[in-house]
Amino acid sequence: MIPLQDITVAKENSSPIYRPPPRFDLLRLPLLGRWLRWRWGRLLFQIPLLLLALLMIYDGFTGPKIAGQNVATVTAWVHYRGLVVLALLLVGNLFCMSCPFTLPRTIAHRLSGNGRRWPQALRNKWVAIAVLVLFFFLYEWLDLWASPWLTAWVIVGYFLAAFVLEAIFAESPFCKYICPLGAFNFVSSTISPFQITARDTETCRTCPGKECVNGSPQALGCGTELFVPQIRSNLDCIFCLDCARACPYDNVALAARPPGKELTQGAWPRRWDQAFLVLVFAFAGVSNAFGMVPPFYALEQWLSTHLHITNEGILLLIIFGMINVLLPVSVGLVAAWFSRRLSQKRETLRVALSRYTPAVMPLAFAIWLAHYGFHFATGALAIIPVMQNFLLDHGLNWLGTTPTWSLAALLPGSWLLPLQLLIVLVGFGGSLMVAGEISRRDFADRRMATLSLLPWVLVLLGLAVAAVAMFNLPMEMRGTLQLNG
Amino acid sequence: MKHVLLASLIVLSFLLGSCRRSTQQNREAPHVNMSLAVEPEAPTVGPATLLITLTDADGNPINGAALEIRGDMSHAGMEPVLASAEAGQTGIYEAPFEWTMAGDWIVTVTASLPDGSIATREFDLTVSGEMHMEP
Repeated sequence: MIPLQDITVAKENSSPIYRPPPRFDLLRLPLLGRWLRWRWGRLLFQIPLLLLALLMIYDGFTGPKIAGQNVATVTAWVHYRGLVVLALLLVGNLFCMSCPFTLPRTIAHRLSGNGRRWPQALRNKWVAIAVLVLFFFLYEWLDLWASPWLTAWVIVGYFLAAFVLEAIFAESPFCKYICPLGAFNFVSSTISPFQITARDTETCRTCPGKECVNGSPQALGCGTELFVPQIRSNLDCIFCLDCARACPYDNVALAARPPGKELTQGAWPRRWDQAFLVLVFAFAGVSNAFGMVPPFYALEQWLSTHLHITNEGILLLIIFGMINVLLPVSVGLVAAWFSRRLSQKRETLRVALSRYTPAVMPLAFAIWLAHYGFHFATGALAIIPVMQNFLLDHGLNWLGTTPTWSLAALLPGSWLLPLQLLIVLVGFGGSLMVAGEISRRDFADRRMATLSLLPWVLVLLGLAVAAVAMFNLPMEMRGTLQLNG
Repeated sequence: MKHVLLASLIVLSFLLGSCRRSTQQNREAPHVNMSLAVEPEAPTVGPATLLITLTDADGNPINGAALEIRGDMSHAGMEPVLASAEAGQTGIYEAPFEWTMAGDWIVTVTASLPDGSIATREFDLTVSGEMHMEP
């Protein structure tokens, strides 16, 4: 039983508990709703992904060594990334809902019994930020996209980490505090159009058992310990719908909301870790795409020449340390300081920083969408010849006798750049709208509102210009560094 | 139910692991030397010519082989470039090719030799984005 005072959201949420009932609820749809609320509903989403993960591990270890011919690399770096951003944009955190890594975790959870509580000092996003930054660095350094073998190891690592942590700790620390995919999905899902909410908050107020978070004999409670009537953000929600299954009053809704609504309503905790997670997410979006364009290789070469460093790992550490850590931290702090100074508001830098970081989200997500969408649009159909080849390798000609290697692109190449630019522009516009809304919310004086907003408009503009400039450059699929000598 | 499913999946993955890949059953030719040269010499995006040289262990040219050439980018999801070459004179086979994008490429050459054996080699090279201008 989890004491309610331990629920983070409950402590940080100061808004009134009453909200009108949701107008459109996915859980009320005739067939889909019943499936989602069914006891084994989530399992039916997880099993296909578990089978796919096992197939990826198998082909990653035993299949073709060239990334473009292997199920592991094509699925992980083309399809997973493309589909996950589309799902986040159109629905919500569907990958965490269907996450196959949590299946053996459930067994570990049963084995461990009550287990320990995750240490209080780590109940924040700092570990997730560190793991996310580390993952992006390893992705570049080890050329994960080019190695089926390493991709298979990444998947094995995920299964092991989720299992071990669940065997030691009572809650779901892997999902909430560690998993880099989870951190990516959590922060991205804040722009998603669906969110868990209570149908009738009065029912929750008088509910004696709080089964949505504590669980019931029939269903687990929320793995990340969110209390449904107080959820105002998709952060930390893995869309598992255990709350809906556990609720004895059928009072949980997966409700539609205007995209980005939570960004303007002060729904996020005003914490350093939360603010920096968003900023790191935004700058990593730029750096991840930057790693594929010619100026990146020129910068590597320049650093190598001037610092006399030929070790690629150290050079990448310097570049990505700058872009993914130093830049977001310094830009965020400087913007917050100027915003506070210009608006003459007496508040801590933490509060000043946290005010406008939600406004970065639409643009940050747009940059990721434009990048991952590019790979998906140029390579989605490649899975067909890869699967044909896989089956033929095993003596099966179910999909034909020759792989159709000419299949790859989903969209004509000429559409891609205009689409990317449109996505970034829409994201930039969305960010400006959210920022404007926040400034009007927090400042009665229109002049002060504008002044407080100004430094953040410059940050957004800088990010948008960097993204547009990058997408305009010819992309180079490179993993090697050609250093002097 | 979950335990049964998980056990079934583990068994299935072991069964899959025991499958032999048909590509591993080809008769690989021993002692065949294969080299690749590219024109233009510094590969750049655009049309190119691949020159593949086949020799036996004693350095004698191998003619009459059928070559299948495949260019893959290191990143997954890119359409491969396919080409072929036949006959060959003094062991040199010429194949028109096209580098469709700058970046790291893996060129796989599979040669079906006159004696029915197969020789396969992979060549890594980097293609730059700068176009060559004809004088």
